[in-house]
Amino acid sequence: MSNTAKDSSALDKRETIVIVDDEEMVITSLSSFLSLETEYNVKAFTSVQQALEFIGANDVDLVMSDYLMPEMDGITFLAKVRDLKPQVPRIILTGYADKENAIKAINEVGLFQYLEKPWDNDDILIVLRNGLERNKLMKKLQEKIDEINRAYAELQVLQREIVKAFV
Amino acid sequence: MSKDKADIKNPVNPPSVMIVDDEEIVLTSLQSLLRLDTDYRVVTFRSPVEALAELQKHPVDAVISDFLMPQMNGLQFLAEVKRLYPSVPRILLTGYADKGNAINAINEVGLYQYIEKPWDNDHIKLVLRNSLATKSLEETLQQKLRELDEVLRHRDALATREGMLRQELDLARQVQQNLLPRRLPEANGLRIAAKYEPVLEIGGDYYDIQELDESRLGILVADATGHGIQAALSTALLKFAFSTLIKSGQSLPEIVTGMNEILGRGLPENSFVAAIVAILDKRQKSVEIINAGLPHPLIWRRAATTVERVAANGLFLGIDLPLSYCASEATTVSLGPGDRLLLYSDGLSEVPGRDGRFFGDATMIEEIERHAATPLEQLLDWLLQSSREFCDGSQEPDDTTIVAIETI
Repeated sequence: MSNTAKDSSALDKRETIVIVDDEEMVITSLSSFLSLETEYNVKAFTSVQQALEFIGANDVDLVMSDYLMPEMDGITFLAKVRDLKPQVPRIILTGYADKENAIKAINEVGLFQYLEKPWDNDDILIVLRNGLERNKLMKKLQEKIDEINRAYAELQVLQREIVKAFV
Repeated sequence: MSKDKADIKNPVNPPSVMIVDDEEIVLTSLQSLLRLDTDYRVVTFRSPVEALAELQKHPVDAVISDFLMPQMNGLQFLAEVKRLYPSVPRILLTGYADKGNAINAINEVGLYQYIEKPWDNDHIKLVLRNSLATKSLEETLQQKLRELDEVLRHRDALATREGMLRQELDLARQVQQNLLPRRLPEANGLRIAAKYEPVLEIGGDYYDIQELDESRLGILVADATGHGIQAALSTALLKFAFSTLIKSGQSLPEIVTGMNEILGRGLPENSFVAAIVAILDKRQKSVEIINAGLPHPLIWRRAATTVERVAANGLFLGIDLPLSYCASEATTVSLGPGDRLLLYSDGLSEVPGRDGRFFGDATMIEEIERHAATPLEQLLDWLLQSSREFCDGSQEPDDTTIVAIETI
């Protein structure tokens, strides 16, 4: 697949993706693949707690988690991520055996998408691109809403000033 | 997965999805799935050419297309869809054999996602839901951008208008400044001081002192309703009425009656003026006062070390009633050596304090007594400062004017 992420708009700030999997090998291969194929800033964790600390303290744009982990399952972890950063898209990596549970929890936890293990690299790139696009839109929308509110406030100040001075 | 309610948009107008596949069975099964599990409106076509013709007439919110079709392949079809509606998400259904081609063409055609046949029902619903949510977000964003443009346009227009009004206001302020006495008249045996503190650039307060002849001065202290341009116009009219009539040789009640007529005709509706009009006789050390709605003037009697109120109150001026002021409404007070007469607007005295009391006469009297030895100019500064410090901040401060006369 051509390099979708690298071809996309010149980002003034690299997007940060957090990957959580208790298996070092999974983390390594995903991180290497994404570093090679994209310009995302990839933060990989084998510890759920450390990942939560990082997410709580930093701006992140997307979180991808394994389903089966010893500390807590991926759905529980992603529910905690939602509590910390409600707007950040969350993706679960699931084996075939856990797929049903993951799907059941999708609406509950508000997941963006699930990906089956063994994953297809092209699929991952597309799903990440779409998740990040969604995140960017949400951020932009919030920015514009804030700008509108600020402009409205300025408008009201002007109106009050005019009324105060001239009426 | 639970049923995807079409909450992305108005439920009255659920998202519409077009499915194009040359195989009827694919169309039927996908349509059944979406009708059963979602609220989407589904339209299906076996021919991409017919689908494009339909799309030109009726746009949809998402398009799912098969890859291998007889008239044109899915990528060509979706490229056409993109040309027609760039923001509509496009999803490709592809068999394993065609997956490579599909992936190569993803950037070209700008697919939202591809789905492999045989598809997973949950997966296809999820992809469709996400694609519709993204489109809805994009539309909302566009709407917000338009809204922002409009608000900014309004704001900039208002800022421009405000700038123009400020210039007008500045001219009005200059006019009002020019209407105030440039310097206070000097009189043997008398000291005259004045304090004028508008809250905004242009106040509704105004004062004037005119020399009538060698021995008499005409004094006006006034508070017109409103501020800004309205106040500037009202005070200009007040200046005209006062300076014309005070030198007319008429009695003080006749002068005030005349001012009332001019203001009644000239002021805007629901506007009026509270004023004290006085004539000071420098030789006699006496002041004739008509008070039309301002607080009682106060006199500090140095010999008795007490403060007196000058009880003289008439109606406001300019309320467009044929009022005539009579001589009984004029009060004449004599000033002994060291006495001080204070004429002031309610911006000084009617100030609410933190303990529920008003600054009022009682506090004013205390201050005047306490500062009996303070020079007249500084007494006015003290009074103004005390009034401002007394204020509990529950209401906007008001313009303040004080004119004071002291016999030496």
